[in-house]
Amino acid sequence: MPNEDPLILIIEDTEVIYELLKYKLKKSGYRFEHRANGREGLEAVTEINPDLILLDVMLPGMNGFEVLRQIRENPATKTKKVIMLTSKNREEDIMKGHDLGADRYIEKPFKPNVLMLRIEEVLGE
Amino acid sequence: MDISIYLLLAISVVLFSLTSLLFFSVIIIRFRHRRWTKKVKQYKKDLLPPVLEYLEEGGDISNLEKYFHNDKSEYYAFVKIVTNLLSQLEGPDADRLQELLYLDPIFDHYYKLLNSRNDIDRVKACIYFSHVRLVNYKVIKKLEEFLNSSNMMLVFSAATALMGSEDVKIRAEALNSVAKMKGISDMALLELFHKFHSGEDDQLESEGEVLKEVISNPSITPENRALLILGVAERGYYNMVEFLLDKLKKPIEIWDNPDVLHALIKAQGEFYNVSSVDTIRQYLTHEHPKVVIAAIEELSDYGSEKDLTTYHTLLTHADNEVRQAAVFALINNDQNESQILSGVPDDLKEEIRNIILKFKTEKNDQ
Amino acid sequence: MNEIRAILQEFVNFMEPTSWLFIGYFLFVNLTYILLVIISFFYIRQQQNYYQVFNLKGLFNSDLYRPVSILSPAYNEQVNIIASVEALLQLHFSDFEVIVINDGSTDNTLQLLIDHFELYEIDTPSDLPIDHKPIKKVYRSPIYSELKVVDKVNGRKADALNAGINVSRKDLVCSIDADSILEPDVLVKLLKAFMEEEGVVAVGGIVRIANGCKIEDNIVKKVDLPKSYLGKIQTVEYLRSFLFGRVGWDYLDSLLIISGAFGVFDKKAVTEVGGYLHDTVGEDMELVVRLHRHFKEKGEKYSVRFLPEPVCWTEVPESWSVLGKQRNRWQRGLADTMWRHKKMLLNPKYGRLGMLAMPYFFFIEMLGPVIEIFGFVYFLIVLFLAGFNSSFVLLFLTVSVFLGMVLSITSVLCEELSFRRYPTLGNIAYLTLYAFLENIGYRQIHTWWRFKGLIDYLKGDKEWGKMVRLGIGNSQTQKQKNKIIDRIKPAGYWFVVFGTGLLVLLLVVHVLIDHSLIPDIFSIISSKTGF
Repeated sequence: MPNEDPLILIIEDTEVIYELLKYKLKKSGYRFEHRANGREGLEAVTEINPDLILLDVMLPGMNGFEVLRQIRENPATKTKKVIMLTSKNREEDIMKGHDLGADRYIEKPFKPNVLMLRIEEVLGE
Repeated sequence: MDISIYLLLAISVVLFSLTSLLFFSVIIIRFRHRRWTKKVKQYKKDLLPPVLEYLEEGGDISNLEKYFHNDKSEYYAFVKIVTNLLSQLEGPDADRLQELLYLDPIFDHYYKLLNSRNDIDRVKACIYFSHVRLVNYKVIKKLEEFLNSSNMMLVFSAATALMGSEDVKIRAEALNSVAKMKGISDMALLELFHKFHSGEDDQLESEGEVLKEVISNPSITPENRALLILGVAERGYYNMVEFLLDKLKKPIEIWDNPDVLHALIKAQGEFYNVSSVDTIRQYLTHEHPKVVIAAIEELSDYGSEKDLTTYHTLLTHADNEVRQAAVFALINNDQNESQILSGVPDDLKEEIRNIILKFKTEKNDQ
Repeated sequence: MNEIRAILQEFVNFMEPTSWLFIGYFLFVNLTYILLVIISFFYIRQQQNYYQVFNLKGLFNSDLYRPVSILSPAYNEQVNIIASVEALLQLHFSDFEVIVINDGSTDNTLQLLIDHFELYEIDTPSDLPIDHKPIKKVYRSPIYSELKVVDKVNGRKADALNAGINVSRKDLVCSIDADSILEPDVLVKLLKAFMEEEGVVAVGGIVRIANGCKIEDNIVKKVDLPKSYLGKIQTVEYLRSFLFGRVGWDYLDSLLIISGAFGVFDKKAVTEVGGYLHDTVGEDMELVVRLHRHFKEKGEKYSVRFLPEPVCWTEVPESWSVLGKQRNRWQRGLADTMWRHKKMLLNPKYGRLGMLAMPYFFFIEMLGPVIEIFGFVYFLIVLFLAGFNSSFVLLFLTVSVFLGMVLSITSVLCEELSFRRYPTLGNIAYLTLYAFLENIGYRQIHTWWRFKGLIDYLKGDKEWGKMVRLGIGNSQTQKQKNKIIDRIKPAGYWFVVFGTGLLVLLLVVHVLIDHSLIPDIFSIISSKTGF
């Protein structure tokens, strides 16, 4: 039953990163969709109804924090699981991601295996 | 009519040839460029999966060599993929990626560039070697040679590459030669200083030891020395605290400079070194405003009651910025407006009041 | 008729000795510019080789490097303000703040900002080292901690920027226009100037033309040429004078202008000289010249740089009247700056600046239009009296029009060999065509605008030419009041363009006939008209 594999939405605009993520997710048996633009990513959240969203902060179209805020404001997507993934490593941003209700916050540069663990963790919650 | 005709003719010929040159080059350059980007794109597409495969599964890196056909654009594409990934990853995956850069065909290509006579090629090689862990003796030797070049760009990029060495002495030498350069910007030096730290915390101590030598080098300008001292404090080389405090206690020769003294005082503050308080207090009466300001700023954080009177006296200091710092120190020590203003001569009252207001708004702003 | 001829003949005789001045002038100006373009081309190529040397990485882990405040003055920008601020907040840089200065807008600009960013009020700063119109309120946003909005009493752009400088809490300030579109990596690229050298006080980046480009989310997605004649002409013009011209001056260490649409300044240096001047129309140039003057007089080591890599895209006017007003204003700004700093002119104390850059801008850029206008008038009279058989007519057209074409085409060629920002062959074909067309009509009209600007300055008119903007990505033209005049005026301009074109064509045909390269069509025509 492949359809029961968790569906993960990647919202990320750095090519090597999403290629790496796609590879990793495929290996681990997840299904995934990818958007490289904040606004399109937000649209995809309602459209494809993913189980988990991997969200970058610096995105064209709409900032990752803004995407997260709108996900949380919409009753339909309010409970979506979100892992923020960003190169900004300022404490302030981690706080902001936390305040807006991100389930996890992964800083770049990151360890891919740690990210996979977090994904499993969050999906298990 | 003759000369004008000749001029017209000459200019028309120039115009015509420039236009044809333009069209000619447009077509050729674009064609070549398109072919190059297409090739690079294809290589990236071909090379990325085996790289990811290698990262996931491990295995022998020489398996990847079969993807190369002695083509510059392949090397370019490969290095691009690996360095892009490197900038985003850390941990064991990053280490393994670095190994990839040591693939024979890639290494040979850049080693050749490193040994070329052309500075531009050399710089390209330096940039490549700045991504790998430097272990090759010949490469290090060559890079060290470049440190004596008169081309600032080459010196800087060679120094950057040398920061990849495990040997702290080599890194210190590279830092030293850049810090000595005339006209190097504070930002460039700072950038290099941050690369100087290997990332391994167990190296902090040996790094601190060699940094003492770098900072004491008389051929470094006072500004650069000051910057390095600030960097040392920010990075947290705690084994340098006493060394720096000694210099502050007995500032002779190269240490007796307002910029350097300013940095030394600031550094003690950054280290939260309480035992420096008495030494710093002596600088409240230093002749140079910059030094006095640093002393006020650091003391206000952990000074004692008896400094309050000194701050009050400094409210009438000739330098405007010293007055500001004194006001700030008093506010920081919970003095209210009327306490601060008591004893201030009338002609200064208005100014002091404005400074108080300024700090209050700034505080609220944060 | 004969009487007029006689008077004109007298005029021509009187002007005879100066006729070489006109020829020499055009020859000199165009040749120096060609030289400047070529120098800058090689300079750019050399810089491009070292482009990757300074990569900022470790620096961002430190608090000791220099963060930037972007100052975006907004006056009645409701069409575009939200998109533009959102885009600014997405720039790739570790530590920067965006300060939007609402310069007493009479439209909804402020309310839109308050609603969109959920702004709340904070204390206004009391420490205001630079003078400007009072600040009403300062806001911050809970969504973006790096955003500040300043609401102030209407002044002018310079005044708004001064307020922004006062509110800024960073080491560097980047002043832009409200409709400037910055590429995401501009700040990183601009900072390279501060890495390469110690003591940089100001850095300008290149301004390119956004008209015609495909723009999404205030980011240029696809570069293309503007649709209109004036847009395309300006593209060539910007390449020539704003790209290669300025790189050339940068090479000579004598850059006098940093575009108001895009420049970064050391805040301490700007505060030291007292910020922007608010009673001039050319505040951007004036500030740069004042910085030069201040640091030269102080004897401090400093530098002002121009970098061709950080790109800012901006909308340019595409109607004759608006463009004319803009150029008129630029000329007045130039003249005003020259006048205020006339002390530097030919003063060896200011080094290359006083002996080279200032004289060039004074005699060529500022007074040039006067010589050119007289040249054109004289040319027309000689043409009327002597026809194409005069060697002056031929020489004049050669050095003013044909040599100008050489200059324009050289710029296009250099662009192609260095940056290649225009993607298609069609773009280049158009640029080539317009490099020719620019010199036929447009440059003469441009001279007229500059001439008028100079006259207006002397008459004491310091008003801003009103700039009617099209909203970016929104092609609706705003309604204009004086419909009739605005319809007749462009017709006049077009007449000049076609007239000049016809003249050049006639000249070429004439020369060809003279040398029996084509059959003599003139005699056939003249036998009918009796000319």
